[in-house]
Amino acid sequence: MTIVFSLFLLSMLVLVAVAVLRTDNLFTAVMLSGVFSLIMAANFFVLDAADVALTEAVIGAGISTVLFLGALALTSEQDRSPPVGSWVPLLTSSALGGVIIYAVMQAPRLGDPNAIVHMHVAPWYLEKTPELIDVPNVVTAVLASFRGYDTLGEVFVVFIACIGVMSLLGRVRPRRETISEETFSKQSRNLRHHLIPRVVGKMLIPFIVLFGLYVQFHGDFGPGGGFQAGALVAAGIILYALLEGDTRARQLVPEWFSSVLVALGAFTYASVGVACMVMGGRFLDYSVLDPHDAIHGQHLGILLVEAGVGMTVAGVMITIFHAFARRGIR
Amino acid sequence: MDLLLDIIASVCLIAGAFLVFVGGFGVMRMPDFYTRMHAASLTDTGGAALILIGLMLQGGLTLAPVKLIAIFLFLFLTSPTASYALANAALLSGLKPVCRNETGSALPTGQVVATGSPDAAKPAGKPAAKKTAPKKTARKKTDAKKAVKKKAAKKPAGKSARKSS
Amino acid sequence: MEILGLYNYVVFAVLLMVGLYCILARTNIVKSIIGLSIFQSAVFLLYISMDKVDGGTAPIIQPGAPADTIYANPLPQVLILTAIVVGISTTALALAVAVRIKEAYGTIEEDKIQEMDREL
Repeated sequence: MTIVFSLFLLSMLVLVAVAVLRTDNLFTAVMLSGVFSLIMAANFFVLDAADVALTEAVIGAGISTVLFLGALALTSEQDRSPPVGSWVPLLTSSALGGVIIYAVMQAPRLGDPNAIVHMHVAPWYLEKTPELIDVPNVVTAVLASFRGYDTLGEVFVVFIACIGVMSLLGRVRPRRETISEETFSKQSRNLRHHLIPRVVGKMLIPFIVLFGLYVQFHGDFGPGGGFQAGALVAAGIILYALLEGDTRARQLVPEWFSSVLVALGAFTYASVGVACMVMGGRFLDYSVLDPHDAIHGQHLGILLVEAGVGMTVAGVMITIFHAFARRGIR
Repeated sequence: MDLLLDIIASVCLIAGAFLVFVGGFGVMRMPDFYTRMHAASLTDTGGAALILIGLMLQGGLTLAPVKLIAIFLFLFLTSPTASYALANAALLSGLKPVCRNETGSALPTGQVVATGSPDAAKPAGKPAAKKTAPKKTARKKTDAKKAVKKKAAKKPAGKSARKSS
Repeated sequence: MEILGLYNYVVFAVLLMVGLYCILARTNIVKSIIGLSIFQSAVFLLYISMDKVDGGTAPIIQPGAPADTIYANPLPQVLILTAIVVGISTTALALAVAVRIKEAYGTIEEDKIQEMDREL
């Protein structure tokens, strides 16, 4: 029965992608890409990837849509492309698609337990995780401990993207004088005069942030972890910024705080690795963090590292949103 | 007892699925943005509520029905707000609802008919209709198409953004 | 029946085509960035399709589970989890560049930008 469901979802993916391609209004295209991400998240869940589905739903359908809308507000909304003159793009894409479909026909069918990809490292991870790390969520164990070095690199890539956006779109020096109420509402676009979304939205924000913290600390036991948690907390703050205006949101979570979060998260991750070296092990070898109990050391290491990831991702999303939102005010 | 629970759950799920289908069908067939949203709100409240109740009955006495209740409360709170925000945004940006005058035919641009004598309505309606009918119906069609795409796309996206965040 | 087992991969190829065509054929920069994110999502679909095992469940080893439960492959999920976050970061950077291009040239259509560059 799930195969019918999965076929339907995949076909909807293709239809939505073609709709994104063919529409002329960029606002429609952005909304449709949000729908695309949500259907993709449902697809991931049908394919037994719970962590990835959660991440795609939060980041793809939530934060990505907000960032695109922020960029649209600063550029134009209409796609004024001329009708495609030459046949070269169509030929290139069709040729690429044809080659890939031909190559993919040799792949093992979906779900084959004897596929080569399930043969080498994966059974080792599934077997050794209860022994060496003893954390129920194998994905978190592999992400934070077995493949911790890759995740360190990813955190630094996110950090560098934040620095890039900040250097492109600038930072405003904080002004010391107090600002009156009218300049508040004139300065930034907000929804303060729309009563219903404002009340309901403000009621939701504590629950969103609480859920983000829950996902952060329960990443060991269920789907979750630092990436999703950071994006969730950032989504709560972004909701506040959309409702109350950018100026007030920057009073709630000041610029220096989100910048410090970004740097502190990456620093925490790297310093856990260095602390492992100081205590006698190799870089990012968490077993030596607790001299008496290797498994407890692993738990401690994973907790600190995921906290670092969560802090960085939250800080980066908030900073990037503020960078886009503030550009329209000047 | 189990069989009875199963039967009630199945009835709830089928009724919820039917309401979702009716909502989707209404979105396709309704003439105007506001009527389409009225049809789609059926999906949000009635359809989602019945499906969640059916799943809760299937869940037994574990933690899963409690989580489903939390999801239901969340959805019940946010999806009417999303519909309201959408309709408010459409109204504030100038999209007017289609109304019908006394003779029963829809005015081409969806202008609201002034209440009063039919003589006042007719001369104003007809020359405007004759001169600019093709352009305005074309605009209304693209407006409606854009609005329905916006709405059908924004509502799941808005809902998912609130639900997942 | 072969095609049903491989439908995921065929959809992956079609989405790649759509994303690539969107980047190549549209001159609007923001539209190209949307096409790029569709391209990225197609690659994620490929990896996650590879990790499904028949009869498996999500790779969360519950403490009381029997010893022979089948789990899905955790490795592609790990790779894609970080890839999603990195993808949104690079999309944000690309959008920042697009905003700056709009401010510098006044337009965001690539052919007009090339004309302006040639005039200089």
